[in-house]
Amino acid sequence: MFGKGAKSFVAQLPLLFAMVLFSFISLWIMHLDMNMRSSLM
Amino acid sequence: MDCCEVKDGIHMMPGNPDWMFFTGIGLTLLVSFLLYFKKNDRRITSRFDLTKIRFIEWLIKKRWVQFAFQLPLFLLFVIILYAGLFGNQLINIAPALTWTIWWGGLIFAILFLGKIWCFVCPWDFIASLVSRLRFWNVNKDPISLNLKWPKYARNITLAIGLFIILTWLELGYKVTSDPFATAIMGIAMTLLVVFPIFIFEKKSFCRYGCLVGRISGLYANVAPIEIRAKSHDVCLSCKSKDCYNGNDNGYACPTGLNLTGLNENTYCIMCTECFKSCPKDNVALNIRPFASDILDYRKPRLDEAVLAVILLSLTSFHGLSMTPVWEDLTSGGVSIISTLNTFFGLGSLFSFSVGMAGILLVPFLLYIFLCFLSHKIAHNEITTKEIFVRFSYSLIPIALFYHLAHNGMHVAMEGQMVLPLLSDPFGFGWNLFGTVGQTYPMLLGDTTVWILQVIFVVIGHIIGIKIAAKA
Repeated sequence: MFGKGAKSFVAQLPLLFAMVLFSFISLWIMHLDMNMRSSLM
Repeated sequence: MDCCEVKDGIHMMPGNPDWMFFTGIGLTLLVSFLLYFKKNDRRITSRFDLTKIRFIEWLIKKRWVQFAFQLPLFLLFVIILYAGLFGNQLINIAPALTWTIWWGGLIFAILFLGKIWCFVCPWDFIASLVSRLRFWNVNKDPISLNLKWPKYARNITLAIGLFIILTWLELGYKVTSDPFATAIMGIAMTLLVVFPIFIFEKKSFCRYGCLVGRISGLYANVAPIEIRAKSHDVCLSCKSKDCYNGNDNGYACPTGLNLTGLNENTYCIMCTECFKSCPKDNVALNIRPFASDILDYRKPRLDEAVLAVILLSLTSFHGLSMTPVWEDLTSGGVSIISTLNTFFGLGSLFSFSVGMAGILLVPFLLYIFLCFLSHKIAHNEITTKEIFVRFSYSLIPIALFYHLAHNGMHVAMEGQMVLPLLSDPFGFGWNLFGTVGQTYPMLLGDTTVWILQVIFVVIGHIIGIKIAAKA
């Protein structure tokens, strides 16, 4: 989509950053303590 | 077996330890740079058609088979409705069966079996029965006005809206612990499926409006199973297009698909009607490598792209809303909800709604901004919208595998709660199987759950990176 070359490499970095950020958030949420549903039953 | 900690009557599962969290981050960063810019990525594209097995071919062409699978699910659905509406509201099987077993297990079913839920769907069972007035035989004149779905609504906006509403009800109203509300939601879903079948042609609601079908549709592109034409040449030479139009042996494709152009699982509901209607016996039920469709998605669409980003936001929100960062149930300490409560002073539900809207919007706007940034750097004719649509599919496996990690925790740590309830599903004081009053260990210990969660997130990230690299 972006073609080749250094510019294409740099252009894709924001999207790569987005994916790393979203995976980081997933890991961070799982790092937190959780109130389990069983406590609500 | 490890166990949850109990604070002030609240069962708390400790989060992943620091070392596991940082290992997960390290792995995601490592695979990002190793895979994203890797060239000459070879892929396995082979398929095995399960209909080559005589028994499966025989089974799949029998009209009564779907009925035989749907009937038990329908009866279970009736039990859930009865329990929710008329059962004891404290001891009740409806929430555990619905939210822990079904909603929790659904994502695992999609990962391995694709749109299998649509095949056994009890809502579809009811809608088909009342419209077709047949248990399984073909009725060429079902009760329906057969109107076309409105042109402006031929997208999945309705399903996205229903998904947001469901999440708001589920987490805002804590429907997951309320048997009566769970039953009401089941009835509401039934009405949502049944009414359109009397008005619109085929199963238009399944195609455009069903939130379960559309979410599982996007996720099913990762699944290792597909229904496809055996030979595209045979399809191209076919004049009657019975898969699309239907015949005496099978209904027209309920979601309006034509096998000739079927390359993704998104809208296939695996009803198997095309196996019955195809006069050339040209339909295959293929086992294939994971993520086959999504690595080579041919028809990206804006509405699907929006759902992909929303899926990511809302699945993360499911997890976040259970943490003390969102709402501190134990000590009344500082949390997002308490801060919003103090700021607005309009009650918890209002604060919840504002917080949820923020969590929906922030990732969405951030992603648009990053796509815009990418567009500016590239400085070519590719628009921000094109980048948004094309790259959003790389977020689907990240959402799916986080969803698996989150739901897997529910099933592993809460699934055993169903066992005592099986003996007394309505809270009437029964003890049918002698399991009342028994305590059962969790299916998996918390260390195992943590390890699996990190593995799931890393796998989702790897697939996402591979999709983005190909986009």
